[in-house]
Amino acid sequence: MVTVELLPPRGPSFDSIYPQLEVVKRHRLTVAAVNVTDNASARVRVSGLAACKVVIDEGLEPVFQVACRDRNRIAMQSDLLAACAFGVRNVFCVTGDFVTFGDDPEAKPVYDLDSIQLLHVYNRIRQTGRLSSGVEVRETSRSELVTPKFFLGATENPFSDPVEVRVRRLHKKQQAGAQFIQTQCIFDTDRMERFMELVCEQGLDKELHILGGIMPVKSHRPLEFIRDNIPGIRVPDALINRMKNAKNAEMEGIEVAAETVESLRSMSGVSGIHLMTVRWHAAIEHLLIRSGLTQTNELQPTP
Amino acid sequence: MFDYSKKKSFLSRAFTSLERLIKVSLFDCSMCGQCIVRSTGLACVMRCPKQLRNGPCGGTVNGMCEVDPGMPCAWIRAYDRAHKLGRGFDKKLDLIQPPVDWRLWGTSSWESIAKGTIDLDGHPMDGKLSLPMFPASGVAPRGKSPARRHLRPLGALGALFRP
Repeated sequence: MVTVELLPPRGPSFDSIYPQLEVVKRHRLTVAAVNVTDNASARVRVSGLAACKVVIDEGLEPVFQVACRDRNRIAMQSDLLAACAFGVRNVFCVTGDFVTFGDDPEAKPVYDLDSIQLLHVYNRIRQTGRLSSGVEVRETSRSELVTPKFFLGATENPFSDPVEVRVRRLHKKQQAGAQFIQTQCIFDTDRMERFMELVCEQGLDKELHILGGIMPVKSHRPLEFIRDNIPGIRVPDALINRMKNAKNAEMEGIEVAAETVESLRSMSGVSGIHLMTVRWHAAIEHLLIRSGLTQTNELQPTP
Repeated sequence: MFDYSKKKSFLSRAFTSLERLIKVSLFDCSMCGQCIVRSTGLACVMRCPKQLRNGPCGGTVNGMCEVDPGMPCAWIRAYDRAHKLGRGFDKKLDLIQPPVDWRLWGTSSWESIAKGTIDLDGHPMDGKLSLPMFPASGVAPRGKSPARRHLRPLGALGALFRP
């Protein structure tokens, strides 16, 4: 299974997301869903919920991402109900990058709930139709009890230390109601393999659909940026050197991503990939073709 | 966090200052008013800038905090300490902690335990958010741990620091 990440625009218009949605539409048999980020890296962007609505209107399947950083439990539940009303069927809970990493380091971080508590609250809503307050989900006091149905996901970073603690936390997320997991960008496949071994040992691969995070890069510069600025991602020096020495860095980036996909395929317990291409939409197509994930009949451009 | 205008009684203030004195010096307590230190290897995890109550975020690098790289990750410290303290403490790390009641911030959790508003694990007694999963992955076994012996001189207070 393949999912694609969509970064909502910063301006007051959705124009910039259509090119990526067009690419996804051409490969809609392969790409299962579009994951819309929620003010990623603590930087202001168009609301993820609104972008989800656009994705639905385009006939695609969105994943609504909720970060605990910006909202308290009241707002997070109201956004969930709104998402369900729009027809969003996939919800994804993250803790959220700390405010000091973004453009507004002086902002008040909320973190009213953590991601596991949020998963629990959402899981309770869909299982029992009760909000965190215990109040039942009904349109009016006399109408029937509603139990909204949605698929619940969470993140995991296999590259943070120690790996055993990551697996224990993953287990907690599964217990709190997560059904699918997206991992942080994978550049260090050896570490990912070790993580998946531990996951399979615990039997968590039976309970969770794990998607490996893939980020194709155009040159060595984003890799260096990630290594120096984004905490908790491992970027091997060998990979940076390989990208530096490549003749055609873009093709090499796709090649590296395709090799990562290939090694994920050989790991047991991995159900699919999650593509984070930032604004490089062509990479989605290149990578899907290169790794043989696209059906051949999709290769024809739609008239 | 909140300063409720209600004037506190002498007893309440005494409880709070006593608890602050003991817990800040012992566990680097942040006075959340619903102490879960028994489930987190006797280390206060509310020192975490994200105030996560259910394990470390994905940004810990070599056991250090992503927000302030000079500070050890509160959760990695909790896991290390629980591991040293023994199996009973280590098992309790797998409990899912319910959401924080922010009204209790800055109050004494001992007072709340005495009043019966929270239990010894720092969970609210009203059961509003308790599904069968609190406590989640099985109850911690009361295994004998030699490391706990040093807590015994604390007597009745020691009960608060057992897993």
